Amino acid sequence: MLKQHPFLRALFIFFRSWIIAIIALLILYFVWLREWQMTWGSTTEEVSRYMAGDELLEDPALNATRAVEIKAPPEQVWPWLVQMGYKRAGLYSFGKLDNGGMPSAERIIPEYQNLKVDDFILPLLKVVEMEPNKSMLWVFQKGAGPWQNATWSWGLYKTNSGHTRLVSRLRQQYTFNSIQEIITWVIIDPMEIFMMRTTLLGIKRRVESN
Amino acid sequence: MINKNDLVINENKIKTFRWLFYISLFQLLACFIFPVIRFPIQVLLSIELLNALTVGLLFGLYFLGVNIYGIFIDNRRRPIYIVIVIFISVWTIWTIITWLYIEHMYYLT
Repeated sequence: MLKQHPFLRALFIFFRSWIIAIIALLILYFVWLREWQMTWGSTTEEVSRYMAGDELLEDPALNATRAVEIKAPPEQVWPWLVQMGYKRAGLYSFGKLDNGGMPSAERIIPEYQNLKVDDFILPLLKVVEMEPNKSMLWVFQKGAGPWQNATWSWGLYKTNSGHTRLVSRLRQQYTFNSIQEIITWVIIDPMEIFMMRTTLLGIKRRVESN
Repeated sequence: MINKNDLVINENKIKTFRWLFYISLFQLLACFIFPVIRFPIQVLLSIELLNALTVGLLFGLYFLGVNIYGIFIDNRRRPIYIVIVIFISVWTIWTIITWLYIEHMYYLT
């Protein structure tokens, strides 16, 4: 019957090929890509090392440790970190998406250098711990939609050559209370790397070119 | 000698393929039209660019596969499929270069 209706046959081929493609992509993602993207740029030591906030979430579903090496000491990287935030210097991420339609800053902005514990980076992302030039912990607050139960930790480690290893750790406990949440996680889990990598490389470029 | 039944089967195959072409074209266009409805104008360009560099490309690659198939089975529209294949190939190369050197893409970051 299907063969006599070209549209139905096409629809059948369309769905069948998507099902095959999705299965192939899922296998590729979970067998190889996920592990690679969750540890992008970081060493085994950096992945296993304790970072601020690790104790807040036990065995999270998303546990991503990414790193870049910046050719500058931590003291020169820190000012770029503390000025990050919504309607501040941005997140050095993609386009104008993270800063209310404004591009991220290309310079150190003196008025955003006095960040302290309990300040907000994003409307529901709060600074919980900070040790200047060494580490900083941001925690998503209740009401942050799919991001509640998440921590974002930064570590700056000086290398023997005087450079900085800038390490970002994003930890998130997924909750599956609704279909919308499940869809959100299916999208965020493989996509968040695009923004995080852009942020890390964006900081590196800004520090090194300044 | 060409059998009449073979011609009918071939004609059906082309008709089916063309429907597949339209469905995957609709899918690709919907992917870019959806943000227009959903997001404010200030961030729309950034959303569309991010779309083109991620999910949009996934649908684009599906459409690429459909068009490559079309080159071989639908002779009458072959030039259209060739143009689309070239366009999506350029799009794919642009995406790879963009992600490799994202920090230097000032118009994006």
